[in-house]
Amino acid sequence: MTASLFAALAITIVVEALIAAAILRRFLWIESVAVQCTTWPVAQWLLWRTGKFWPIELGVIVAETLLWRIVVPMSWRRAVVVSSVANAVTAVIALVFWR
Amino acid sequence: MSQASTCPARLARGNVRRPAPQPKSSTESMDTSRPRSVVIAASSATISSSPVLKNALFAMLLLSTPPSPPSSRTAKYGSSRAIFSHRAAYSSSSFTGIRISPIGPVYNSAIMKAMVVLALAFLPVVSLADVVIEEPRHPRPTPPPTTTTAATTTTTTTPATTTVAPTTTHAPAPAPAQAAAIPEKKPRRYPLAMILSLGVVLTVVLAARRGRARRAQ
Repeated sequence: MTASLFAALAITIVVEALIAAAILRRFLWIESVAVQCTTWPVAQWLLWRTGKFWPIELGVIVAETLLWRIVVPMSWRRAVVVSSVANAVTAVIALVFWR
Repeated sequence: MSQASTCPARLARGNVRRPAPQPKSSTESMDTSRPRSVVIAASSATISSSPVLKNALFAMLLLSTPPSPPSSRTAKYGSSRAIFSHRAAYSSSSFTGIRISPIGPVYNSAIMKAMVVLALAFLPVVSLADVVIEEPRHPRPTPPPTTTTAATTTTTTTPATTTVAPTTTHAPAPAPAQAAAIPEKKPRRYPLAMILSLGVVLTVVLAARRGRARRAQ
C-alpha cells in the first residue's frame, strides 16, 4: 500500500512537471516537487478522511495556483492554467488507474 | 580505559578494580553531574525521533542564519565583538540607511513571515493527526482447528450449593513460526507528514530565493 502511494506521488510529480514545462517553456523540477509535496499529502489525507474526490481536487487546484505563483514568477492567469491543466490530467489518471 | 585494566588475570587477582559496565545508549553515557548536557542530549534525541521537527528546525536554521561578518572586522576586533558590531550595524537603520532584520533578510517579506508561521503551526498538527494505517505485515494465517487441552476443571461440591466451575478452554500457545506470522496490531504511521514538511521546506526556500532575486533587481 505504501509503495503504491509513493508511486502515485512520483507519477503526479512527473506528469505535472511535464505539463508545467510544456506550458511555461522550461523545466521546473524542483518547483514541481515543492508544490506537489506540499499539496499531495494534504489531499491524500483528506481523501482518506472524507472520500470526496472532486471537491478536494478543486481545493488542490486553488492551493497549487497560489504555490506556483509563490515559487515561480508568473502571472495569475498562467498559474491558474498550469494548475488546472496539470491537476485535470492527474485526476483523470487517478480515476482510470486507481479506481 | 587501558587494555591492562581489563585483563582477566589482573581482575582475578583483585588488584584492579572491575571496570564499569559499558553504557548502552548515548543518553546513558552522559555524565549525571552535568545536567545541562543531559537535557541537551534528551532534547536532541526527541528531535531526532521526529522527522517533522527535524525539517522544521532545518527550515528555521536556514531562515535565521545571519550573513557572515566581514573578515576584516573579525581580524581587527575578534570574533564576538565583530559579530556584535556587525549585528548592530545591520539592525540599525542609521548605519546604512537600509533597514534589514538582524536575523536575515528573508524575514522582511510579509509572505515569508506568513509561510513560516503557517509551516510551524501546521506541521505539528499534521504530524499528530491520526494518519494511521493498520496494515498487517504478513497475510493472516488461516486459523488452525481449535484444539482443546485438558485444562478443565474441577467440580466442587459443597453441601449447600453445587457449583460447576466454568469450563475454560485454553488455546494452545502458538508455535514460534506461527507466532511470527501473526500480524502486528501496532498501527504504523504513514509518512505523509514527512512529505508535507519536505514540501513546505522546499517551498519556503524557493520563495526566499525568489524574494532575494526580486530585491536584487
